[in-house]
Formats: sequence, structure tokens, C-alpha cells
Amino acid sequence: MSAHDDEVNAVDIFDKRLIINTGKGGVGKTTLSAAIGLAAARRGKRVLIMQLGVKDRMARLFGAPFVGTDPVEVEDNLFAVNVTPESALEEYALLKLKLKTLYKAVFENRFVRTFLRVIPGLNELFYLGKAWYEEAARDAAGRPRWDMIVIDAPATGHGVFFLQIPRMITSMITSGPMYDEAAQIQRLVEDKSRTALNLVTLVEEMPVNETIELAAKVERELRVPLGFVVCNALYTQRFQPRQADLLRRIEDHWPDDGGHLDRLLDAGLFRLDRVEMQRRHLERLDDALTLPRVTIPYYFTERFNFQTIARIADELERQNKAILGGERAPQPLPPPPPAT
Amino acid sequence: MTTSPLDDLIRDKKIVVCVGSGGVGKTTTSAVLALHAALHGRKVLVLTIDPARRLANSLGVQALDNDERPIPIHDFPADDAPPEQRGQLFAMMLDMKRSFDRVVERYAPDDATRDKILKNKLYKYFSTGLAGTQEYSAMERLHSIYTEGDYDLIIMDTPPTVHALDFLDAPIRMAEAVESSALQWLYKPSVAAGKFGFGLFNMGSSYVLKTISRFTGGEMLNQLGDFLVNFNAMFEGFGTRARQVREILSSNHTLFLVVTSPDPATVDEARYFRDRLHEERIPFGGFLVNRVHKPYVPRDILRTDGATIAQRFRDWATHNPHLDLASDDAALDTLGDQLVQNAAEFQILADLDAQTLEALRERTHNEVFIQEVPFFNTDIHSLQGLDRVRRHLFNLPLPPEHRSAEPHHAPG
Repeated sequence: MSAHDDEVNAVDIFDKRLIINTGKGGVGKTTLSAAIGLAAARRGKRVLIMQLGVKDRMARLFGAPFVGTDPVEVEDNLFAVNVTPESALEEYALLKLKLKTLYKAVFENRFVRTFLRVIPGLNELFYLGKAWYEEAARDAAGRPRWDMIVIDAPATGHGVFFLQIPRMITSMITSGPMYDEAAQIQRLVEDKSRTALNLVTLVEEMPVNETIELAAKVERELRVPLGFVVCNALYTQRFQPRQADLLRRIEDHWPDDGGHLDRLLDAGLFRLDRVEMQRRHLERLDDALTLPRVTIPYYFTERFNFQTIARIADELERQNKAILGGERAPQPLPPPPPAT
Repeated sequence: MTTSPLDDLIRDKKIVVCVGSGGVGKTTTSAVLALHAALHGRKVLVLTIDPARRLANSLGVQALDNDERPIPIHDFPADDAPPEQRGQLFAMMLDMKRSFDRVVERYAPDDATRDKILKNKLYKYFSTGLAGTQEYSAMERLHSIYTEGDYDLIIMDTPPTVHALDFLDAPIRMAEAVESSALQWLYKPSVAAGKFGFGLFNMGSSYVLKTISRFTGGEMLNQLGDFLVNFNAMFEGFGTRARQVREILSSNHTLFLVVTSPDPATVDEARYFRDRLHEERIPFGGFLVNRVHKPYVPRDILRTDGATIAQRFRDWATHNPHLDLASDDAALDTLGDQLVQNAAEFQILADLDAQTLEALRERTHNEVFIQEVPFFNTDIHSLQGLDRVRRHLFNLPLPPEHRSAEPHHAPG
């Protein structure tokens, strides 16, 4: 490995078996999970996108009728599933107990349910257990059932907590079946060759702060290998530097009369302000982190649909390649102009 | 003085709870609601869960912590609130870990039990874990402030939750789980009385526990038992307080506001929050929608030829020769087109947001209060920033320096 590689910490996300996307609510984790899954499937990989106990969004993005607790093929080679704690527990418990009646007597007991509901992290443990199980699954010929599993993780806070659980269990107890399971899961999520945790963020004050804190926490406490920091929905610059300068000069002296030209200038200034703000936050992010950065522009489009997912998938493919080539933060292609 | 719908909603409330998905500006909105009520004469506490220093700074203090802290508002520039009629503002950040420690310190029967609990490995895990402990801590804190404090109004920011109303449900769920009936079922009475050892479990539950231990192993179960036994002494009050808070939150002294952004997925969640509040008979005040894009110009202007605009700038420049625009002739040529395309992009965002909010109005039969706050050109992290949000929330006139930075006053 050259010194240059060391600097950029190049990661090939398409080389991993388990991709976990995390970040604050509303930053586009689900979109990104869909796009990574699609990009990998287009490489010919068999991919499973796992949503965890949320309202399903994959069906709409891929135009599939329904995605529930069993994997559904939403595109060639691309499957989606919406795991609930109940479905994961039942699947896991039946695997062990073999008897449905015993499962029902124990896990559907009123008091047991009451306890299971309040034990922090239990649901998350079931989710991770499910991911581990799918990663380890092999067909009759010994081939992996999935080439890649993409987890659309819960929002930060929950997101990190969820990855802490195996380590918490292995530090709390020293043996037993739960220890063994937790240790197996821990080995998977901490394995640099198989797993990458992407931090998804918007380029705004709070999400960037949170991403920087999250990265530090992951490195310090979690030891889950980090992949990319993904900056989503970036306003690209519409105005060249000379135009921007001109715009500001005109705006400074133009009568503030609320006329159409005044309003067009206001809109232009708004764009300049936001882009400048983003630039400062990107700089902060790059100063604080050593991760490669993927940048997804905001696509001005009436409907957020499959076409947009496909466009983001192309960007991921292109930027992943650039990162492997030694770039730390490749530029995205500018989005197409709006149709008027 | 005229008041806004939001003023009317909040006026006679004692608790206002802001709920909503993560990343929609709940914390800022909570701070602004508190600021406004304090400016208008009330003694207000804002209980935030966000450790962001910028918010503290924007309120004019260095940092917030687990104690109630006065926020100076006397010099705050607000022409709608005469200084002599202003109230007081306090802010507090809820530190989840420390709050739960407080609960233990307060309710443990003796020092030995307290220390045992605080040192227990499972406790450390529970108290920082998220399935209910955050919400439980928040609820406990609200209970003690409400019953012991002398605030006119408490504004409560809530943790972002995956499941809509964990904030309401989790404390009760937790109380149910640790109350005696469930415990008695699991443990022998001797255990519940604090004697711990072999023969821990009740015969009636033994096959269940035996089965569960096939998953967890005996060590984990014993750790759990140890934890529960030590915790047992504190259990009784848990349920009582959780239910008291629930009662307070359901009374007409309380108002829930759902904070959202115009993103369709977020609005879906917001609507779900509202339905759940309705089912639970919790007083719901309306939706506060942050980050709404507004159009800048009437739609037909977006078809203007860029060259026409460039020409108007040139004409104007001849009357303002000191600006020296002519030297940038090439940039000026393309600026017109860029300005139109830029406005067209914002028009798309404005259309999307308008559609989403229209659908929200329809689905709530136009009966629900919806207040929009525009998407700003900067982050909100100063008193001026908070004031800007405040003016939008409470329909106050904008100061001139903000007017041009906002699409809000677009004609048409």
C-alpha cells in the first residue's frame, strides 16, 4: 500500500458483503441503500436490502407491489425485505426450538412479551442476528445466498446503539449460547474485509456535527470499519465565480422593490448563500475525518423515482472508482437542468 | 394587540410537547416557542434533549446542562414585546444517563441498594440504552418539574423515535414490565423481598425460563435476575408516576404539536403521529412545518429569455456607471439564463412542497392548524435566527433585512 492510499483510506464498497448505512433522520439513508443495492445488482451481484422495522419504502422506489418480512425481488438480482423484531425472533427461535407450539408457549406468553418489549437492544440484536444469518447462509453447493447485504439502519443514536449490542453482551457475560451468537455477530460487523459502515449526511450544521461525532465514536468504541461518508442532496453551484460576483454587485444596488428581477436576484443570492454554507461544512467535514467522501447532488425533479435512484447508483459506481484511483472526494456530475 | 393562531393555541397551556421525526427542527422550534412565550410575560422552561452547543449559544449561554439555567431575554430585540412586560426564560438539557442516575438516587430505599444498582453492568447498559429509558428519564424529569416547579409553561422537546409515540408509551411499558405482578410470576416471593440465590425462579414459570435460557444461557439470566432484584425496591413508584404523567399529558393543560418538514415521507410520519395522538385522546394542536420552499416569481417569468434580463441589467447599469458592469459583459450575458434556471429549480421545490402540504390539508379535512416556516438561506444559530423563525411561526412582520432573503413575500 502506498502512502497515498494510506491518506485517502480507499475503500471499495462493492467489495464488501455487508454494507450498513447510518445517519440522522431525513438525510437519505433509504435512498442511498436503494442506490447501492441497485449499483451492486447491476454488477451482477445478488443483493438483499434490509429495512429494519420501519414503514416499507422500497416497494415504492422500485415500483414493486409489496415488500414484507420475506425477501421480494424488486429488480434483477436485487431483493428487499422489511424485517420486524417479531419476524426475526420467530425465525431465529424456530430454528433453535424446532417446535412451533413451544415457541408460542414461551415467546407469546404475556409476561415474557412484556419483558421482551422493554429490554433495550433486544430488537436490534434480532436485526443483527438476522443480518448475520443471511450473510452466513449458503446454498446446497456451498455458494453464499447473497453477495451483498445492505442495511438501511435506524437513525443515529439508534444507529450506533444497534451496533454496540454484540460488544456489550460479550463484555457482560463470558459464555453460553447468547455469548456465542453475539461473538459471531461481532466478528462479522468488525471484519474490515466483509463490512463497511457508511455515514450518510446532509451538508448542514447539525447533521455534519453529528457525523463528525459519530465517526469518532465508531472509531473509539465500536471498531466497525468505516466506509464512505456520503454527502447527500448537495446544491451544486449554478453560478460561475464571475457571475456570482456580478450577481452580488447588482443585488447590492438593485432597488429592493419586490419586482420580478429583484426576486430573481433574491433567488440567486439564496443559492449562493446555501452553496457557500455547504462549502464551509464540507471543509469542516474533510478536516475532521479521514474517510473518502462520496457526494450526491440534489436532483431537481418533480417525482423522486426509479430514474433518480438509477442516477445515484451511477454516481456511486463512478465515484467509488475514482476513490479507488486515489481521489478522496470526487466531484459529482452536475444534475441535468430542470425541464420547464 | 392582534395575536396569531399559534398564540391562541398556546395561551392557556401549561405544557407544550413537540414531537416529530428526527432532523425536522424540533429542538429549534421548541426553543422558539419558549422564547416567544417568555417575551410575552410568562415564566417558561424549555426542556431540550439536544446537546448541540450552537443552540445554547444561540440562546445566549455557553452551554446547557442537566440544571435549569436562566436565559437573559431582557435585551432581546423584539418590538412586539415591551421589555417591562417580559417574563422569564429557563432552559435545561436532559442528559439521559445522568437523569436516570437521578431517578435511582432519588428513589433507592438506601445507599447500599443505590450503589449496587449504579454499579450493576446491566444497569449501565439499560440507562444509556434507548428502548424506553430515554423516554422514561424525560417523563420522570417532567413529572418532578411539573409538580415541584413554578413555571407557567413547560416546553418539551422529545427524543427522535422510530415508533411514533415511544415518548408516551415506553414509560408505561417499562413500568408494567417491572411491576410486581410480572415479577412475582417470574420470581419466588423470597426473591422479590430481596433474598437472592439458588431456586430463584418460580415453579410456574420454570419451563419458560428453561426455554429462554437455551437462548441466553444461565449467566445472562442470573445477571438479569440480580439486576431486577436490586431494582425491585424502586419499582412501585415507577408505574404510579408514569401514569400520573400520562394523565397530565392527556389533560387540557397540555398541547402536542407535531413538527415536520415538507418531505413526503416525513409528512406521512407526522400524520401517523397525529392519528396516534388522536387514538390516545392526547390534545393535538397542529403541524408546524419547517423548511418549506416558496416560489420566487410567478410561473410565466420562468419562461423569460435570459438575454432580455441581461439587457435590463445593462440599461440599468448605464444609470449606475460607478458599478462598472460593462467590464463583465460575458458573465452578464449568461447571468440572465442562470437566474431564470435557478428560480425554475426553486419553483420545482416549491411545487413539491405545496403538493405535499395540500395533500396533508386534504387528508386532515382542512380542519387541522398548519403553520409553515420557510427554508432559510443559513443555519439557525443566533438570536436573530431564532427571532426569524419566531416571526414566521407567530405571523409577525419581518424586519427589512430579512425580507429580501426570503421567498415568502413573492408576488402571485
